[in-house]
Amino acid sequence: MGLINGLLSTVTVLLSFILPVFGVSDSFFVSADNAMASFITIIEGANWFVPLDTLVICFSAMVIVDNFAFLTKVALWVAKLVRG
Amino acid sequence: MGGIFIYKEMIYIKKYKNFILIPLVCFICFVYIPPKKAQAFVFIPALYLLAPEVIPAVAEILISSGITFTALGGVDGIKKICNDYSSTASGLQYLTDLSTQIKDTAFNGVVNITDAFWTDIKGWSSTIFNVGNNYNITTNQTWPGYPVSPVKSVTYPYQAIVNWVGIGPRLIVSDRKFWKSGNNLMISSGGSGMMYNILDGVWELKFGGTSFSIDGGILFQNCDIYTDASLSVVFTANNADVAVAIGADNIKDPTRDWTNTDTAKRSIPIAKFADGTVADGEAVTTALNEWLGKTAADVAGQSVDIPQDDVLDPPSSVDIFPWLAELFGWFNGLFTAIKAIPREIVEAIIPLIDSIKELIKPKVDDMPSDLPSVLPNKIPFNKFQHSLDLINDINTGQGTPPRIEFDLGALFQASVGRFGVVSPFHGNSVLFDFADLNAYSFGGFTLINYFRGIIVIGFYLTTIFYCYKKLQEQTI
Repeated sequence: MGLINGLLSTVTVLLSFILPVFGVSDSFFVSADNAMASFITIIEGANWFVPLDTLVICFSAMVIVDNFAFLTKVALWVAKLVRG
Repeated sequence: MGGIFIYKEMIYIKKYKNFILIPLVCFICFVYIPPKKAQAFVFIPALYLLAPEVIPAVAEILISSGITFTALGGVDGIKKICNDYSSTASGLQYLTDLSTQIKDTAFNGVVNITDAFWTDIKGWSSTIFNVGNNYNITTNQTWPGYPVSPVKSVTYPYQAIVNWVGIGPRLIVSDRKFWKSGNNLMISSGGSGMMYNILDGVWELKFGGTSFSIDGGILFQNCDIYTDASLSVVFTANNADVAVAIGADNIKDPTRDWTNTDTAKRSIPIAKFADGTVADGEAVTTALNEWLGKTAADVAGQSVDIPQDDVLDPPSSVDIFPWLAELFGWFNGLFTAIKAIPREIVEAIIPLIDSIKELIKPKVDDMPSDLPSVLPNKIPFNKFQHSLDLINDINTGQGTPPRIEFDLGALFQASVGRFGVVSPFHGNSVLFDFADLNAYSFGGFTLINYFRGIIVIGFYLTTIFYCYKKLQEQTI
């Protein structure tokens, strides 16, 4: 979960940095935050029926497969830059 | 496999790759490399990136991260400097005011550095570097060109005034010994060009020909960060004026300490200017050169046939560490490029830095730090903080069985009660307690565990099929 948390932190911080530049209002963030929070609460409420770690792993796998090309490109690109 | 799919959008990523990469790498370092290395890794570009107006933000990062300042044993002086950095009213402002005062006292462009001036400066430095009067500062001083040894340990008394010929007198105010010993790099900017001084961990007030500056280093775990109060103050005093006003007895010369043959106080030949006549700096320098040459000749048992220029040249990093010069060249290029970023973008990066700070804070909250934050929180950093907190505290284990309560009478009444239909229920609530399912177990597993097992298998199968199908579609 540390990895997931880190990724989510990165993404959300980037979003909260970038989106206001494009004029997204604060009310949107409040709504989105609350929506995400509700969703998380609902999911957490189901943890007696559904193993959440499995859920997260499977969703992550699907997301990665969906964006595999993109992620690979980014990873290779970063590796290439680091390597020089 | 990465070459199979090419998205058109990659073009834009290539186009803006530098803009994306720097923050990305910073973020990744912060998120996935928790130790202080990562922090230092980010601070190097951050410090250089920031123009003076952003120094408060950096200082707050430093403070909030509680880096080695406190970990290496609470240094009041450093804390104070950090606080001063983070408050533009003091620190920089103080030095600016001080320099302005100095400038105002100048007559015909010559600053009269009197004893009162030195007293003021010493008093101020005591407030910054609170190390006590009996403190001796020992440093490994590197002096290329000197024939005895490239490195020599030199001890200065607290607030010694060291006269570097060609550079000007300096007030040694403190060193790093009281929080960490080791080789540290000082980069001093003075006069007309950049000058690198390997002066091992010495804080100094430098009075050069045209500048007045305070240099210091902030020590991180594995690297040093150069900080500069970045004063560009018009301060016109040449060596002659300075030397005359200081009074010869106060000047402590590094060469004398180096040779360590004469512990008695010695007057330098500048005294002849004490009548108030102002000589040009070149004449004073020549006189000093002669005096330094004599001092060097006093070294017992050693041949000291030193060309004066070699002795008097300030140490250069190029002489000592060629690779260091290369490194600095690289850094200079990098930072020049960064500084060329338009101001609008720099301003947009400030929230990013604030965000970095927010990322650091949880990692360093357990570090002891009593430094108060003096910056107002201008920007709410992570706008999804509530969700993130929930995710951080999420319980992925098997939680408690839910209990669902239905009041069928009330539901019925609320839906069709207004039509006058009499409810068949009597208002008794019905409780579904899923803990009851635990009463049914087969083979040592409760019913819900079978249910969870089925869900797990289903999830994995679904995922596998999904991925398989996705890859099939794309590759055909």
